[in-house]
This record gives sequence, structure tokens and C-alpha cells, in this order.
Amino acid sequence: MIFKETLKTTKTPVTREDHWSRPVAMDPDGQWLSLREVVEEEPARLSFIQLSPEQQSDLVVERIRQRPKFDVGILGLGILYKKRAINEVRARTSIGRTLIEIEQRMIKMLLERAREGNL
Amino acid sequence: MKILANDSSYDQITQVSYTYRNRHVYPYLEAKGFELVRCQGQSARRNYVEPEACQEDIVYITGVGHGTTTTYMGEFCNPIFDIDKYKPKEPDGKVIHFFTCQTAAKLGPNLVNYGCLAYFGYDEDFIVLMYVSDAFFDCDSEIDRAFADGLTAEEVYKRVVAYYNQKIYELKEGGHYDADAALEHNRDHLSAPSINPKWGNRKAKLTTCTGLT
Repeated sequence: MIFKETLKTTKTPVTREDHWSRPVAMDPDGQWLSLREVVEEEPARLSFIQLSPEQQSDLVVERIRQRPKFDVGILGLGILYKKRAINEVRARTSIGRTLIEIEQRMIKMLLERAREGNL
Repeated sequence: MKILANDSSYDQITQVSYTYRNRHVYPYLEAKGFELVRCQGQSARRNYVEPEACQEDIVYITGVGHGTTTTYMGEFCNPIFDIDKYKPKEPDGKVIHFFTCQTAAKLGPNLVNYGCLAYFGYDEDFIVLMYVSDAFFDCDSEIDRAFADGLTAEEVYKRVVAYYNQKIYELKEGGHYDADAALEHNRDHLSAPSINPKWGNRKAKLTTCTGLT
């Protein structure tokens, strides 16, 4: 079994700075806004749920692209690495839509944690 | 009481899960007094599983493998349970848990229609962040441990969701936000009788005779 201490000491491939610097929204001119920009400046923006499906895919592609490492296991496919993941998201396949859903959950959580000063 | 374990192990994701289950799940089930019938690795194939699944003293069928909405697959995608392509005797009177993607969508209800008492699985892809893969396997295998502890399907579901929530909290506190989000996704796609009767009877549990109290 996994215990709390094991999880705390496991090195995450995504650093705290990665979370702050990756995009979470889009400004009215179509430029990505990082978590830091959204939390610190509260700019006018389109949040994830306001984006079109294609824009949501683009945002998730950009977030995956900026990850230092990406290896996700799927019991139905095998191991998915960065290049394949980006192509699945771009094509909005079933797997791509799953990855989009997970990134949406993550963005929501990161915004909550960052606003609480707990990131 | 016998448990039929059918686990594939032919690629990276099934191999690590297979290793985890052999180390942490099956010893627990044996310690609880169950006899294990293993169709693992190259034996995780339809021709090996079918005769074992037909045995009346099998009360529980579990395993890890790749899956689609209609098919639970063994070694090298060998279709072990495919909708309407198995003997009714195989699921009849048994509790079934497949650790795989999507099978709860169609295969699970199909097995229940043929007499499976309770089906546990996932109706979407099961995602594993490989750098903390054991946390993901640990959550799913709580299903096996809880049934072995004699709980009803309803109690199993509650215990498993609570376990997921605890792991989600621990991952969040450890700064593993990507794993946290993926585990939330898996928890929300866990399918069981408590969610919908198409996955069986909430009161089903493992017993020495028929499997249903």
C-alpha cells in the first residue's frame, strides 16, 4: 500500500514554478494567460469554460507541451507520451477528451489553491 | 471459496499493475481465506479463463487488463469477456471487478443481465500517472480488499470512494496536482450497483454458498 509519507517524498515531474507559468485562460486578444497572471493581475479573460471546444483543446495542448515530462498510462491503450497526447487532444479523440477533462479539473484546483495562498 | 484472478502483463501498464496486484492484493485475499485460481500472464486468455469461470465454487472474478466498452481483454488483447460471447454460467452468481477502461459502459450491464450479482469497473478510461502509479492501483484494489472483508457492494462502494478521497487529499498535500486531478476523474467514473442497478445488486456480497445473502 502507499502511505502518506511515500507520496510526500515522491518527486513530482511538474514543479511549483511550472504550475505558475503554464496557461490557464485566454485574454480577449487570444493570448494565453498564465496562472500567475490570472491570480496576481485578475485581467479580463476567457476562462476555460468560456472557451470554444477548439480553444480548450489548444489550451490543453499548450499545457502539455510546456510540461517537462508527460507519461500517462491508460488501461485501454498503454503508455501515452507527450507527442501522442498532444495529437489525441488536437483530434479530440475519446482519449483526448479525457485528457482535456483532467486538465480542466487541474486548472480549477490550481486556481483555488493559488487564491488561497496554498500552492 | 475461490477467486478467479485473470491478469494480463504484456505491456508496461499491465505489467506494473500485475506486479502490484501480486504483491499487495492477492496475498490479502488469501489471508482472508480465499483460494486463488490464477489465469495470469500468458494464461490470461479466453481458453484458460472460460473453464475456470464456469466453476460453481468461484465467487469472485477480478483482474487487470485493457478494455473497451464491450470487451475485457487479456494477454495481447485476447478477448476474455466480450458482450454475449461467453457462457451464461460464467458470470452467474458471481461478483465481478475488472480493473480496466470503459467496460462498465456495456460489458458490465451485460454480465449482470446474465446473472452477475454485482459489477465494479469504470465507464471511461482509467488514467494512471506513472510516477505515482501505486497510488492509482491502491485505490482500485480497495474494491478487492473490501469484498474480501465481507462487505456488501453498497458498503464496498462507500469504502472505496472514501479511500479515493483520502488518496486525493494526500496527493494534493504532496503537490501532485496532476495525479490528484486524474484520480478524481477515475473516482468519478467508478461504476457500481450503488450508482445504478444496471451494475447489479447493492446487497450482493461474497458468501460461502451462492455469493448473495
